Amino acid sequence: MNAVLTLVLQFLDALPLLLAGYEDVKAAAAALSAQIKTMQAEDRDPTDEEWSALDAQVATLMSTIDGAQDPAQPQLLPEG
Amino acid sequence: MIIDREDPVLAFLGKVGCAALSIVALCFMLGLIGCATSAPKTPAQTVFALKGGFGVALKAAVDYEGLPRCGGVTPICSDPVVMARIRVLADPAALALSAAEDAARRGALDPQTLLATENAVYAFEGLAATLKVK
Repeated sequence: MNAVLTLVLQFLDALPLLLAGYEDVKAAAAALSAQIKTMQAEDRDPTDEEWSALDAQVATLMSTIDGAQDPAQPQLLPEG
Repeated sequence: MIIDREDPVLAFLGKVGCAALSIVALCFMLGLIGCATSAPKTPAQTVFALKGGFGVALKAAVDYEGLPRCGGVTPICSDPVVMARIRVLADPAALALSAAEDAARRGALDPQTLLATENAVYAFEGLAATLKVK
């Protein structure tokens, strides 16, 4: 019973982290949708500034993903 | 409170819980991406929406990566194998988007480039569906 309770408590511990991520993604999706709607309403293509901001955002996230090599994955490490 | 890792029932429950909650965690975050964009009207808007949606998916992936690693008894966790798959799918999508953006900004986006970009981006965004089969 203690073990089950431990699992439940660990789940509850991790829940705020999960919900924070959910809120971030939800906000990013809403901002993108609003941006596209604005372009459509103004009948225009993205400006250089809008492209630059998006490019920078994606580049930052890609560097985070690419830099997140897990040391627990020996198959991803170079041999020798 | 310490979990007895030798107990086969608890070990099984831990593995099932870990796998299920990992998938739930990612689906939870990726599920919103389909709602991220309105239908674009021009090629540049289309590529911008694709790249923006990719950025939202990347954000979800980064958040997923930030969870504790699976392998112990952590019920909500990120699977290293899933993370490797995310990287494998993200790189070609990013490259395709860069090419499509260049073409769209020059007013020279052809249907083949757009289709290839859409396929790469949708493959990345569809990772959650792939995980269900895992």
